[in-house]
Amino acid sequence: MYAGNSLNQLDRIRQIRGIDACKNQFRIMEKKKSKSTIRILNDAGLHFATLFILRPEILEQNLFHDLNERNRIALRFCDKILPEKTLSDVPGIPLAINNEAFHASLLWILRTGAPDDGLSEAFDRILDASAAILIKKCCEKLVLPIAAELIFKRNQKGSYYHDLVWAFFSSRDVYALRLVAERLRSNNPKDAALACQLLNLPHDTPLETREDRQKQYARYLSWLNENQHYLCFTGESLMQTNCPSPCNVNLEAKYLCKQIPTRKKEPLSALSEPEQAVLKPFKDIGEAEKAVLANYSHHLHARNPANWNKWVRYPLEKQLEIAKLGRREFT
Amino acid sequence: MIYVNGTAVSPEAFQTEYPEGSVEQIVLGKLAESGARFSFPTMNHLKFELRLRKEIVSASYALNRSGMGFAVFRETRCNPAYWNRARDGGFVLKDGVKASDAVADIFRNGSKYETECATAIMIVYYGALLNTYGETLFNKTFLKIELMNWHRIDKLLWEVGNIRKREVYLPGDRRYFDNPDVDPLAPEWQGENAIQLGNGMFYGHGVGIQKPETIIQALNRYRMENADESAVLLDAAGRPDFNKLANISLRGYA
Repeated sequence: MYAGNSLNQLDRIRQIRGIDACKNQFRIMEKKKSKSTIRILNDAGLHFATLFILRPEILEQNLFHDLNERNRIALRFCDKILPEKTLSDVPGIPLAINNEAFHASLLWILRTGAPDDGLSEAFDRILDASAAILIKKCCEKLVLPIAAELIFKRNQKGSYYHDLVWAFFSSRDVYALRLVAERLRSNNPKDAALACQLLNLPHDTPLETREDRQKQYARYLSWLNENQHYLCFTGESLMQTNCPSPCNVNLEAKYLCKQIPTRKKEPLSALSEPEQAVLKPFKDIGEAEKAVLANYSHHLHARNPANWNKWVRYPLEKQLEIAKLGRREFT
Repeated sequence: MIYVNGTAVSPEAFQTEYPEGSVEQIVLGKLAESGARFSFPTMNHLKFELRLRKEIVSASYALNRSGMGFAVFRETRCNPAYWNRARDGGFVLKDGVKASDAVADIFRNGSKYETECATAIMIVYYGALLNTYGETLFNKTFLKIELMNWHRIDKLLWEVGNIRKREVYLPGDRRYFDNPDVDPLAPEWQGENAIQLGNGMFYGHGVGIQKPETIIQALNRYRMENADESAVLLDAAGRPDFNKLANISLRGYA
């Protein structure tokens, strides 16, 4: 039995003695005890990296059809992503996102493959593609911490992470912002600098000392907590600009204190007639005034909804005057 | 409107200097027609921008002819005589190699290189600057060059990476075709960086010299199933700080 937390025999050889030793051992094992070798490959505890490096040997020994569904899907997926095609078309192997086995296999690839990131360009590409499908097509939130870990590890090593950042933010999930914000507190300057860039904080954000970093983290979280229900994700990527902004605050939504979906270009959820009437003059004012009103509105609503109801019905000039100067009954 | 040292300038003043239909005349016409005010400290600054924009367009055509291949960052390739390949797929100028020789080699031996569209745009800008500055000043200005995308970019060209809305779009601008519903298995088609050429055409590495509709069609072929958003040319551009680059040219050193 190779299930559970104990390290799979082939994983162990790969990790301790290296890839070539693992391949040699696999060939020896396969010649002597083919059935038990297959069992080791199909073991629930196997890491994807081991299956990945043994691809040529598996195909050479014609073992593909003896593999379990998880492994067959994983190898078919590799074949689909990588330029060199090693498998002839195999029917009955699902590569559709709505298929549970495919979903489970991609999760296995990413979860067990992430610790071996950097094994090869081809291997990293498979990890990126798995993450992209799980995040973008399957809206799989579990993947976000793994993707965040990979992004920052790759940044430290100087390897390629831009596609993964793109997939990560295509989740359009506030949780992704929180995961990046965590790195503002990192003692590694590369982590903090990348977090700063990914969150689109100013270039001169002080991050030198531990206190600086803690302060920036607290400040960002405070901003996020205030605005999380009004954020729309932009889809801007590192391929597009050197200052990608992952999200913007929808000031109209914040002014109305109305939660919005995080996908861009979507309208505010159905507005009542009074809400539409309130919003009409708001749309015509400048951005700076919009921000003043939206911020005030959010805080007043949180503090005293009854007062907010009164304030939001005042003419815009009066709303602005109260927002800028304050008034006792609204404090 | 065009202003030089505070005085309005009409494009007609340049009729004899730049032929009709030239990049320079197109730029002058667009600046003059725009309701916005475009100010240049001196006539030399204006002429430098016109020259550099013309060279950016020329370099786009030259790079398109060079035979440089397309590859995703994980599989990029460069001529090791001039460049080191970085772990993230970028190209780093080799020690002891003249920047002018290394940049010129890409245009001369394009088939020895394969890269993505963002790197190609940076190559276009360096190629244009090499032709505008000349070898000596170019080598004095760019002692180190890294070619990747907008994240390892020389400070002098930082603004090329900073794409934003402009009053008017001009030949030599860096534009971006965004593909929001791209297939996650083809992230290289998430968008196309392109140079606006001024005759209704754009140069994008991998797609070639095309009309915007053709580039959008190409991107749309790589959308995921049930996509509901088409690729689109963003109402934004990146462009170098021409005055900063002109100052270097005018004083002869960086």
